[in-house]
This record gives sequence, structure tokens and C-alpha cells, in this order.
Amino acid sequence: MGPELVWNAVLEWPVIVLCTAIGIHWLFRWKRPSSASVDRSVALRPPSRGSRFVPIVAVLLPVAVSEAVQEAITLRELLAQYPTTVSYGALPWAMLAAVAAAIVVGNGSGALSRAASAILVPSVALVFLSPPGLGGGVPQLVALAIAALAAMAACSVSGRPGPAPLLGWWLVFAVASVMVLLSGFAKLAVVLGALSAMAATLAVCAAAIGRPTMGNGLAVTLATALVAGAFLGCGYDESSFPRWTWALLASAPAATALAGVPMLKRHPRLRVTVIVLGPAALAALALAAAMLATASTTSPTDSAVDPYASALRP
Amino acid sequence: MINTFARRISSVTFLSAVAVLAPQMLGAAADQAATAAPALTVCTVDDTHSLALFRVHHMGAGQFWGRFNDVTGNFTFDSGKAEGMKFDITIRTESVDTGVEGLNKHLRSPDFFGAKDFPTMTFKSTGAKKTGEKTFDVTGDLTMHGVTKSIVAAVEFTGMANMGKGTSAGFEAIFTVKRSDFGMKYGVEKGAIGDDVKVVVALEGGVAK
Repeated sequence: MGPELVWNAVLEWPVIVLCTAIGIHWLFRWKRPSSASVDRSVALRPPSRGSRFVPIVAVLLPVAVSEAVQEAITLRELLAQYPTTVSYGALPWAMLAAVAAAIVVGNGSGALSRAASAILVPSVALVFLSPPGLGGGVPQLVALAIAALAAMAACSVSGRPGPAPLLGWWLVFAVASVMVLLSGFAKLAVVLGALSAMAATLAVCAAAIGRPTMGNGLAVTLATALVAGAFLGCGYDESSFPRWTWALLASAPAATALAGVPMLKRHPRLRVTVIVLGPAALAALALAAAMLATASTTSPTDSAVDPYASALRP
Repeated sequence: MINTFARRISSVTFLSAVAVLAPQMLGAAADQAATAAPALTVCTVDDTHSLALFRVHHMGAGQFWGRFNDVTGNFTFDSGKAEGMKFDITIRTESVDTGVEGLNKHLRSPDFFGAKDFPTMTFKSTGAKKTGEKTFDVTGDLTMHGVTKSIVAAVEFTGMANMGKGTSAGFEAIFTVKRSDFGMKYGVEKGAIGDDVKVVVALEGGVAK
């Protein structure tokens, strides 16, 4: 695979133009000061709620590119191959649906708007996902409940300017990628790794500009992507990690809710630490628990079985 | 009247002759049919003594071998003839074994065989052609990773022996497939893992009594 495949076949010109436009729109959405007396260095950069189209760059782009590069197909071919014989193959469509729903719902800051997007966005994504052994509706409902919880918690800090929330997502997706890799599913691990890398990139951009915030739409879409990754990871798990560890991984963003504890409001640095490291710590706990549980259940081979016995003539 | 009597006598004679000769004629026809029909031997695969090996180029360097331990099914053959030869073989993808558990997990994942979505691979023969004293080209449908393709396998009859408790027969099949044809593309583009996979299937089956 050469760079020409990424450039000509995977990214394609319309996608590049669209993503560049969204990036510029998000990063340079400044409001003009109403009065000349205002300190221009601050007033030029008020907190922005971020463009509602950022999830295209933050979620859809890394998922689609990592999928297309690994399958060595174009974006058009990737989307055209649905419905696939493998339930994992629906992931790009699930993320497309989630991003579309997030764009429609937008970045409303009200509690009702947050709750609606926290339920609607994961719902439309989970409709597409039915991993082996996790079909039948109940697992989807459990995943939806976890996604709604994680999304609501993520929304609680999504209005904070600066890179802290995005740094939290960077670490959570990185841990999720490691857990999926250890479960034996490298392709999904690459997708989660791409999401992690994109969150880190956006965090650097946010730090450079200083004032843009994530916005609820992005927070909810990232939470949906994490839950979708954990849901598929659980379904295709070849390491027999306990299912509750996958649920713990998916609910890791809920740790950001601790940042709202009144005691922390007087300690801004501690609050930022909770926002960045809280979800990562919960995800790391899920990973450690999964590995410990698997190690403790490994049983020695039954030596009583005759290895040369014929199955037909015992 | 004499004529009528004579006709009756001749009818009875004819019927008697038919009654006497028919069983002999039918017996002869049956014997002839038995001689013409192939003496097919039907075998059930003994999965203890059967396996499927696969070989793939790793990182452009060495040839990596793995195996499937769970091979079941049945095969039918007429000694030395292609007519009537049939293979219906099923391999359980979860039984993939490289000797390294980490690799086994990865091979079972959707990156490769997707054992949870596709628990089995099957080969059903559709025809056979004799190519040598004990060798045949067997054409059949290979279903792997949810995709069915027609392939030709070089099959060798490896022998037949009395095992004491029954008779067993053996075949060995060798063929090469492009895994990307079956939608198994992981690592192909980057050249990390080869696209051509050589497969050797060794079968031993107990003759059905």
C-alpha cells in the first residue's frame, strides 16, 4: 500500500475539502468584540461551543480511513458493502448514523437537549450493531443505557474551554485499543487507536487556539464510538474477558462526573486532573480486571485424555 | 373348437415359459447391473487422524504453517476410478492451531477466519478427473469466510488398510487459494501476510460397514 492509495482512493478530494472546511470553521469561529474598550486579546477568543460538524472529523474520518486502509478499499466501496456478512462490518454505518444524528441534534446546552442527544445518538448507532452472542435486544438496551450514562457525563464537561476533555478521550480510546488488541481483534484496535490519535490531534489544536470547546455533539458521538467499540470487542472477544469488564470500559467517561463535585470547584487543577485522568483510570481498571480474571480462570490441560485415541474407534 | 383349445394351450405354454425364464433373466440383468455399477466405498472422516495444514508467507520472509485440528465429514470413492468420487468435508475454524495461543486468538478473530461469524469452512466436491495411477483433480466448492468459490484440488489416494477393528482409507489434497478472494484481506495490502495460502488436507476415514 502506498501513499497514493490513501490520497486517491481512501481520502478522496471531497472528503479532504470537507474536513478542512470543518476544521477551519471549528478552530476560527471567533466573535468580534462589541466594544473597543474590551481587552482584545481575550475578547477575540470567547469560548466557542464548537461546530456541530466536528464529529465528522473527530469520529467518522478516523473510523472510515482506518477501516478503508485496512481493507484496502475506497470509502465508496466501504459504505457500499453494507449489509455485510460480518456484523463488525456495520461499524462505519453505525458511526455514520451517530454522526448524522449528532449533527441534527446539534450542540444545545440545555439539560433536556443533552439528555435527548445522549439517548438518540447511541440509539441510532446501536441499531446497526449486533455482535455474535449479543443479539436479541437486551444487550443493545444495556449498551444504550451505558452509552447514555457515559454521554451525559461527557457532556457535563464538554463546555469547558481548552484541551482537557479531549485529552481524556485520547487516553480512554488508547486503553480501549489495548484491551481490544489483547482480546485478539487487531482490526478494531486500529480503529480505536485512530480515534485516540484524532482526539489527541484535536486536543493539540484546542490547546493552540485556547478557547474552543468540544460541544455536546462531539462528546456524545465520542461516547457512542467508545461504547460501539466495547460492544463489538465484547462480542468478538477471543480472550474470554468477563463481560462486566467491557461494560466498565464503555462507562469509563462517567468518571468525568466527579469533576462536578462541589469540593473540586475550589481546586481547578485537581478538577482538570479528574477530567483528564478519571476516565482513563476507570478504563485501565477495566483492562487490569479483565487480564486478572482471564489469568485466574486458565486451567491446565487435561492429561488423562489419550492423545492417540481414534475418535471413530475408541 | 380345436383351434380355440390349441390357442389356450399355446398361451399357457408361453406363460409357463415366461414364469420359468423371467427370474433367470431378471437375475442375469441384476448381475450385469452389479458388474457395471462402481463398488463405492463410503468413509467417515476420523478427526483424530485427519487435519488441515495451511502455509502463508510471513512479512516476506519465512513460510508460516498452521493447522486445523477439527476436520469432519465423509468421502466416497471407487478404487482407482474418478467416477463416484465425492468429498464433503467440514473444518471447524475455532480449531485453528499454531502452537501459540496469542496467534490462535488472532486467527480466530474477524481479522482472519472470524470463527464467531463463520464457525465452519466446507468443501463439497462437484467432480473429479483421474490424472495418474492414484492421483485425481477434484473440483469443488470451498466455502470460507462466508464466500463460496470453486477450486481444484490435487488429490492423492494414500492407501487403504485393515486396522483390526475395521478398514480405513486415506487421501491427501493440496491446493492454493487467494485469501483475499474470500474477503480475508488483513495484512495483504501491506505485504505483512501473504495472499496465497497453500492448503494440505490429510484425511483418514473409517469405511462404513
